Amino acid sequence: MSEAAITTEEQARQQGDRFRQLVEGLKAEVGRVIVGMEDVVENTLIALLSNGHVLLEGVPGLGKTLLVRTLSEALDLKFARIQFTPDLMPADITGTMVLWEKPTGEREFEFQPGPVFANVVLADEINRATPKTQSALLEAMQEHSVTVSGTSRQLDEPFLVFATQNPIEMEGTYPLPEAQLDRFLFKVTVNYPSLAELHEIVNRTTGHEIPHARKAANKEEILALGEVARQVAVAEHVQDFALRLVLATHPEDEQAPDSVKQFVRYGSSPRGGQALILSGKVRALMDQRFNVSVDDLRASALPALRHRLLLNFEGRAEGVNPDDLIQEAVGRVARSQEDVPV
Amino acid sequence: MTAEATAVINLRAAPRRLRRGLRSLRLRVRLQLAIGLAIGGAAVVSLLAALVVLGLRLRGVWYPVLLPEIALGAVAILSLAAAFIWPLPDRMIAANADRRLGLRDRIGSAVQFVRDESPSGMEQATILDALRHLGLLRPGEAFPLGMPGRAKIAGLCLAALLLVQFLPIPALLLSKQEREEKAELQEHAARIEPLAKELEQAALKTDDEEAQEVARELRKLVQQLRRGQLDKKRALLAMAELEEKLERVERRAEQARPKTAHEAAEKLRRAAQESLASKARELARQARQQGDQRAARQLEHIAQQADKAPDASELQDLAEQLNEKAAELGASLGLPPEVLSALSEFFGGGELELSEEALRELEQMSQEVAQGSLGAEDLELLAMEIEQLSELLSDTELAEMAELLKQAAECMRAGDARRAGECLGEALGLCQGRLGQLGLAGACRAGRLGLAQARRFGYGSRYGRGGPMKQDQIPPNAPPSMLFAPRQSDNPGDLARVRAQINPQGPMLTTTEKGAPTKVTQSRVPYYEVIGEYSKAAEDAMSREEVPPAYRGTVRAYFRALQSDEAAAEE
Repeated sequence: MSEAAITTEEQARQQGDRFRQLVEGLKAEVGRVIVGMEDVVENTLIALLSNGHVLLEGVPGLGKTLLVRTLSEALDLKFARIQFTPDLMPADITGTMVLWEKPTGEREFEFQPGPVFANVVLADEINRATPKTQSALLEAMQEHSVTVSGTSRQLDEPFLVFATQNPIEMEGTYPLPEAQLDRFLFKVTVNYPSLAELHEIVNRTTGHEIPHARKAANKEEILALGEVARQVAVAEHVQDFALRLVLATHPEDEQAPDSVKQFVRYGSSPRGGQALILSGKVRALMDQRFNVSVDDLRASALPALRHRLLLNFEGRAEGVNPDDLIQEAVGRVARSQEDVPV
Repeated sequence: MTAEATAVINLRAAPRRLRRGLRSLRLRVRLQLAIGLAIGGAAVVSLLAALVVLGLRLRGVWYPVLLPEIALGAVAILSLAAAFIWPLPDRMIAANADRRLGLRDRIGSAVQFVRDESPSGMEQATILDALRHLGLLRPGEAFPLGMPGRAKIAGLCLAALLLVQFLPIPALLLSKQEREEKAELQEHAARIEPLAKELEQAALKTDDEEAQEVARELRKLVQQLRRGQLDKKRALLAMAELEEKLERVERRAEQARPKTAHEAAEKLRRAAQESLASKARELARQARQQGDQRAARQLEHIAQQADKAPDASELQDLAEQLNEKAAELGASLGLPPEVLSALSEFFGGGELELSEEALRELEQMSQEVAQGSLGAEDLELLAMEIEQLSELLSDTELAEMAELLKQAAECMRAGDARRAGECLGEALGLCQGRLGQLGLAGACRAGRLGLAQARRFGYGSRYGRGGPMKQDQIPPNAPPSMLFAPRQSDNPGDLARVRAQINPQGPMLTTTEKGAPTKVTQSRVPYYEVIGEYSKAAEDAMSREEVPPAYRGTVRAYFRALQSDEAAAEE
């Protein structure tokens, strides 16, 4: 569904108000189930409204799967969960052709769609599957289509992949290839909850009644608001900031900090810039603005770029955290902004 | 009107409103920039100036005292000018205001979107949003005027400059000669100080603005000398300058004096002499008649002394003695005998206090006349003497006063005591007016002489061949070895091309002289008297740039050589 172009200030305000109401509603519904994790929820919603995929990274038991499930409940979207294991085959994800006997006794191959044919796909522990299986998602994530037996089948919109991975258990896992990582709009780190949050989690989950999210938005609304977000204006100097930030993650760039030059092998792809701008637009609307600001970009810099930085051997050996490198790059680009000489 | 239409109208006015809002922000930035530049510049200039001034003061090189301050003023003006021509585009101002006020790039984005011919709905909303925020914000919030952090550094640098400029250089950093010079300057300052006070008082009496200004400068110079704030060269230059000013004021004050005042003074002195002697003899006769031979002899002696008295001040002393004797004998003297001599002193430019005293007595007498407290005999006697005084002054420029005195005498004879008193009072008023002018001239002269004496230390008495002898210590019959006078040179001189003030490229006849003068015995001019004048003339000529730069060093070396001669003689 395509939303008509917004041509007047009044329309922009109406759409902006509608956008905020929906986001607030979604947040409230997710908040009924999920305790804390405001940043994670916000980034997930931003990715949802930007029509982008999210890679959630965190140790087991932090509620990553619950978050995605709750979100799909609140969105009234078709939800599918794929538990990635080493023996999972690509056909288990995309679907396969099965031999079907008609009442007439005639036999023919018919396509049996896999779990990827859903609006929200939870790829649980995605790094446990082999690269071959992981690659089955590549086309779906980028083209929103699946090709089986030479026939390309379009996926239903919106199509969102929420993948989770465990950063600790490295044995028997297959790190995601760069091409796949790059397709995620955000990589969101899920941190351990605080004591207060833990209390609340225990209270909510061990009681008589388990809370559930109610429907707060439907498929059409999500798509329409995604279109509204895409119309948010971006000034040249803001876009310039985003692109210079992307370039600053490249070791060969002049503006790159020394640490980037030392520890990074490859910087962010252009998708990083797209992710920054798109997420910035959604943040602007959520903040009751109609323009993207540099602060929006700063807020999105870590989730949008941290998985796009490929560390070199020295970086990996030193245990360098890409977040630190990105923060340095942000600081460097911010300092180079034109300033009044006072 | 629909909301859509309102938005369109607002949007049409948006560029103008946006520009207006940014203009006030830009002005604020420029002011802040001017302050920042001025403070930074002041810090740099003060620091450099402090270092340069310190170097110059330690080397004893003269510099215009207010030059660093003028440089600081120039920095301030340049900062203001630079701040107002500094390129500050709209986008820069807007982006900075956004950052400083947390406006999330609203204004910066609006500045760009407003240039679009047909902005989208989102862009329109951004523009109007920015205008709303711009309308609410105060420029002072975004760019508050305040002292930047480097103001403290600038303050320290400025304080260092002022200290270096105006505080005396610690004795530790001075050479022995410089310390001696400072001490001597302080001595001179102590001597000049009472003269400066006297001049100030005299100037205040006359309402002469130039004199008051000069008096203030003299006091300031004395203070600076006492505090050791001036080195020798600057002190001498300041003294020379002040001396010139004092001379000018003195000359002007002198002009107010009657041209024939000296003649009048002489006449008055003679009159006082005769009056005193005759009165003394008259009293001696009266004493003899009373049988007081001792008093008669004393009075005769006073009369003889009066006949011989060479000046008015001695006559004053004798008049006092006569007054005492007259009081002992109970006799009346009519016009007090010291009045004439005091007036003589007054016109001769002598002691002002005595003149004032005499005038006060005359004033008192005029009041007595006006009140009619004098008897007919006394009045007649007084009238005669006043007439005599009138005659003495009639051919001077105090003819007006003489006329008034004559009228007073006539009124006394006619029995109109009140009118006589008035005439006497008017005559005194004229006299006192002259007194004020003379007081100023005297004070100027005293100050000038004091300065001249102080200034001589730099050239004169210290450099006598016989050692550091004070001027008053050198005997009048000084031996030839202590004397010096310029001699006629036999050297025809060489023609050299030098840079001179009158003709920078022209030729000048120059002669290089070395060694001590050969024919010292031909001169009878004391060395200490001429060297000061010659040195002063040379310094003045150099300060007026009349000596070509190439030869200034030679001139200075010459006087330095004399100084080293003196030092050798001291050892």
